[in-house]
Amino acid sequence: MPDTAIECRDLAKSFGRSCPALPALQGVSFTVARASVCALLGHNGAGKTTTINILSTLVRPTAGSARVAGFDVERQSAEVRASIGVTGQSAALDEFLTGRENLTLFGQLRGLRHRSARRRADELIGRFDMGHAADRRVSTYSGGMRRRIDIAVALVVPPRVLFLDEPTTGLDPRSRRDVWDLVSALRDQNVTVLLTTQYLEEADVLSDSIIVLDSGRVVASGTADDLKRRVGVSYCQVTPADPIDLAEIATALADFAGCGTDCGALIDQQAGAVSVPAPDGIVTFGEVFRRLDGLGIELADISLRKPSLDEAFLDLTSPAVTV
Amino acid sequence: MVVNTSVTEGIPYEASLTAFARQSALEAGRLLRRWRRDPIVAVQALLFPTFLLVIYKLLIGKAVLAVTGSDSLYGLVPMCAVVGAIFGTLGAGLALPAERESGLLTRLWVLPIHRASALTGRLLAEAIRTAASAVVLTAFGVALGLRFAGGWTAAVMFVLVPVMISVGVATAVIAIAVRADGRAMVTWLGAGCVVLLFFNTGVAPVALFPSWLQEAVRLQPMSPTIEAMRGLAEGGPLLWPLLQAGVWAVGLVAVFAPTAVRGYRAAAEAGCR
Amino acid sequence: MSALAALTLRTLSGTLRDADLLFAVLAPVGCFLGFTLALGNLIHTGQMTYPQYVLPVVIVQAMLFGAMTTADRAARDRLSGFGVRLATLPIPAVVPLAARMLYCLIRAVIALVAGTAVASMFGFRMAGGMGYAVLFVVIVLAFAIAVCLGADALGSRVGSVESSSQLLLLPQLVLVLLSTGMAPAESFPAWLGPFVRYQPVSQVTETLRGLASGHVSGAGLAVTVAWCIALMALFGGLALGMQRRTRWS
Repeated sequence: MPDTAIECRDLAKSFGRSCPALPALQGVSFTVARASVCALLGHNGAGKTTTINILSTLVRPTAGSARVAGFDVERQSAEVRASIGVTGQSAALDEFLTGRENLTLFGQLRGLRHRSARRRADELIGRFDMGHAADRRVSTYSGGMRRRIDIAVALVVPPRVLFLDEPTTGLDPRSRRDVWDLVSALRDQNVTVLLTTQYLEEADVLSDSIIVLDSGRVVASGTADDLKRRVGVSYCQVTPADPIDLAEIATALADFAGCGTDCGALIDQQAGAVSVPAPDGIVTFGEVFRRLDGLGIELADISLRKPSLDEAFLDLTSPAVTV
Repeated sequence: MVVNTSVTEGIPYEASLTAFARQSALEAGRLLRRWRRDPIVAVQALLFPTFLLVIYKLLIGKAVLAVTGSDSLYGLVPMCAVVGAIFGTLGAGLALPAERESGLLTRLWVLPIHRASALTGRLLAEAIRTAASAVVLTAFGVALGLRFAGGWTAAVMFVLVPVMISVGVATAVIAIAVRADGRAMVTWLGAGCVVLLFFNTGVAPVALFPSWLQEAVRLQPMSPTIEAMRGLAEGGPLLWPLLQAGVWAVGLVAVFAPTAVRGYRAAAEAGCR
Repeated sequence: MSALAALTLRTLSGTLRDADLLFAVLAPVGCFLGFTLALGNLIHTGQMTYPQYVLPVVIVQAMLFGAMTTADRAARDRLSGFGVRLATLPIPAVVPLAARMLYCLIRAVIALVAGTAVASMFGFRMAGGMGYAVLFVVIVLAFAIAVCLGADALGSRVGSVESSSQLLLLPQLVLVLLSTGMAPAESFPAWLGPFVRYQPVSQVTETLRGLASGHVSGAGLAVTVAWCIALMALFGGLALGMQRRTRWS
């Protein structure tokens, strides 16, 4: 298999008759390396699900091309489907069948003989710790269990590329942790994972690369650190014990921000803190501390912060258009 | 959590006919298992027609015997078998919108299987279910007094005839159920079929209907199937009604198959955002 | 009081979406046409024409249909998020039930009008005068409320939305088709006679037919009224009890 697991070139998609003629995708290009985890970020309506739909051969692009696991999605769609696993936003299972029956069915549909399918189902049930619920109907499962069986079904024949559409939405923290561990383990076993998510923390922690979509275009791509660096530098945040001191602190630190006498902008009333850029990192931090110490103002907190992915994301994307 | 990914790597996409048959059989198996557990389908495909058979026999048995001289069962058992076929299909059709919404259709669509196998599998399941409920109804009918003039061969053909019309109706129901407003449309179709329940030749001899209604009663899709089955059991005209029933079945499939295929694909591709 | 009005309106607008009121009209019309045209020449009803004979059972059937959709609605109200929220509001438990029953009444009136209208096109007449006609309507509506209360109790109890109405379909089939509302008791096999003659649907339709034609037996009327009152009391109690039970039991 080639070194890039996923390749998109100028993908475009507009939905014609039934939807308004807003192009869902306008020239999306990116690559995902083999055995890595890539996160697709974007508001609702940015084009994440459409991209995944095209890559899983569900939908044909209006223009552009894409290759998954080395196969062209349009001309070799059958081979693509044989190499991928997909999970959607809601667990797509047959509600009337048990977990075990679902796994066996999908195993057989993927080409396993009945006995191998059953064996594989048992194995997955063990790995995902679902023994107690495997023989109950899926309609009785809790959200976390559904998600687990959903992912297990996608893995029943190990795919080369796994598409996860918002895999941890609605899960409790423990289940979310489990999914993260699974994704990392899969990456270590040479599976390429492309996931969409609204949780920036998830993208930050899990992914080797991030692609930010906005209104059907790629507005940024790179590692989490790359994106954070794009937005700005670290900054130093000072929280006084008494909010009355905010103005005085702002004046004292005015030259760090280079804003002369009018420094209202430095003050974050809601957080009750003053923030100044800290281009020299810990050195700036030391300077700030020394200066405030001299003033004798009582501080509740002082810290050095990296820009968060939230800020990077908000900076890169436009406000969400209500769909 | 380590998942063993080294085993069974690289199952190739099979393009052969056996694979297609196998995948259709798998889909049929899934649906039959599901229907066994779905109360709506059980009621509509089995309980409802059985009850109807017994009740109608009690209600009009004497009257029909007086008017026509033959047992009402020869009209009622075929009618109830066809009712079971049609209403069972409607009940199964009601489950389709749920499968569409949950994304199950989509997931099946994205597997390395023949995409046509989804539909052929479904039709196969419909045929099997219809035959099974026809067997049950015939057994009831025999217990109530139905006899086959043509012996065992006639009995076997008897339970297979409703399968024809059920495949036709199933194609139409699929075409309707996969639409976005599928649930409502199937309910309306069900209401329409209830009309058919009254106006067919199984419940009363054609001559007893008002004259302006008789042609319609004779020609509606249930009647030729009923007459063909009646011919098999009682011994009477067989070829002509069988031909008519065949025309209905083929006609329904021909008209609705393209829409069903297109609609199923659209449902699997989950429309647009 | 305004909570009652608001909830009733909500039920009404909900049913506009699934065309329940349209079904309320179509069901009695369809049943009447089906029975009259298919079975009219088959079943002998002596002096009376079949339309005159069969209308009462068509009305009763329409009321039972209404009860089936009530069961669905009750189940949905109880299981859905809306129903759970309703339970946390400071309104007495009887109000949502009353709203559903009010809707039931409205539906029953519509079905009654539709059924009688189509039957009169085939010759049905209320020959008993104003007093009997009023009694006719009152009994129909009382019967409707009684079965709706029962269906509501059932719907509030059963697990899923789909199974509640399915469960009611079969008993309804038996009670309606095996009654003297469809055909005189003599047309049925002899051993079935007692069941056919005395089951509640037969009682009610006999009385209604008597009221429509102007000759009603006092005993029959008394029995019918007694049935209606008894069912209303019994099912009313059950339904109210269902409302008061906590959701998580």
